[in-house]
Amino acid sequence: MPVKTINQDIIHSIAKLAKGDGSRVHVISRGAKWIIKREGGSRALGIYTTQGKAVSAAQSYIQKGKYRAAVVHNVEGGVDRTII
Amino acid sequence: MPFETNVFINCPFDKEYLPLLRPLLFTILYFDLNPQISETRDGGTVRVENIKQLIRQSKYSIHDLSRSGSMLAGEYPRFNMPFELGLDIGCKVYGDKKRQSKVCLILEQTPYQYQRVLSDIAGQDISHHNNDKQKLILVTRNWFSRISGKSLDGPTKIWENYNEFSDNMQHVLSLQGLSNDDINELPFTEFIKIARQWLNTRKGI
Repeated sequence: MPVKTINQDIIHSIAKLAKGDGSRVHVISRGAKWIIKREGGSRALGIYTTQGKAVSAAQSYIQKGKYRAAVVHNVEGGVDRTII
Repeated sequence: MPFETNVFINCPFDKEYLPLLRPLLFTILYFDLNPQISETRDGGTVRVENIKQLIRQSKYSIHDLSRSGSMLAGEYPRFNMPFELGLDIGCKVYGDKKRQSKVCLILEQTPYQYQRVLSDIAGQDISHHNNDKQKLILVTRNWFSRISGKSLDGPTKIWENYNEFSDNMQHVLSLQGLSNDDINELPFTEFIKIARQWLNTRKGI
């Protein structure tokens, strides 16, 4: 069971993030493929055949300073890791 | 919550089903509907009364029978979910005019899985999800589009929003000192509150 109460302030903090941090991208499965998507954006920045290829492309974005971080998701929709 | 927007959810509550249940709840909330789910897991009169109440007050129902069969050799099948489906159909058939407008979606893991052993459900709206979250979102979204006649966002957009939401929720709750197990075991009522408010912000409501 949770160790802390999920109060309205915490729910509000999570909801605030829904506005989207445009400096981050997400690596998300789409059917059998993987995409990179800017947080809060509507279109994929790129579509890849494997998660590894999508992660490499996301790392390249970060190295070039286009984005601050990449959140790599698993096929369940959860988070595997964040690359900074 | 009004009858017209309530969706009764009849599904397993075990850890194995959680990766499917959360995207399902998120999809229902995405369309401004209200998931009605029983947190009472123990058997007996109280649970059945609670379920009957949820069925009575919901125009829509989603019955996922994909885990009703025996999971292990020698194990008895789980009859709760087919039983609750029967209660729901009974409510529609024998209920007042309002209840006769009820509509339900029956989900199974593979095509015709249930029609083989429960032939009386033929003629109902039945879809399969192959235990795949994206497929589950797709069939739920398409069912609601069909019965509502509304033009709705596509399943891919919902799935991608769900991924971002999962990250945002995990990030904040981890900072609050919750472990991954704590987050995975959040009661559905709390998950629903968090997801609803997140979606309202994303949609600018």
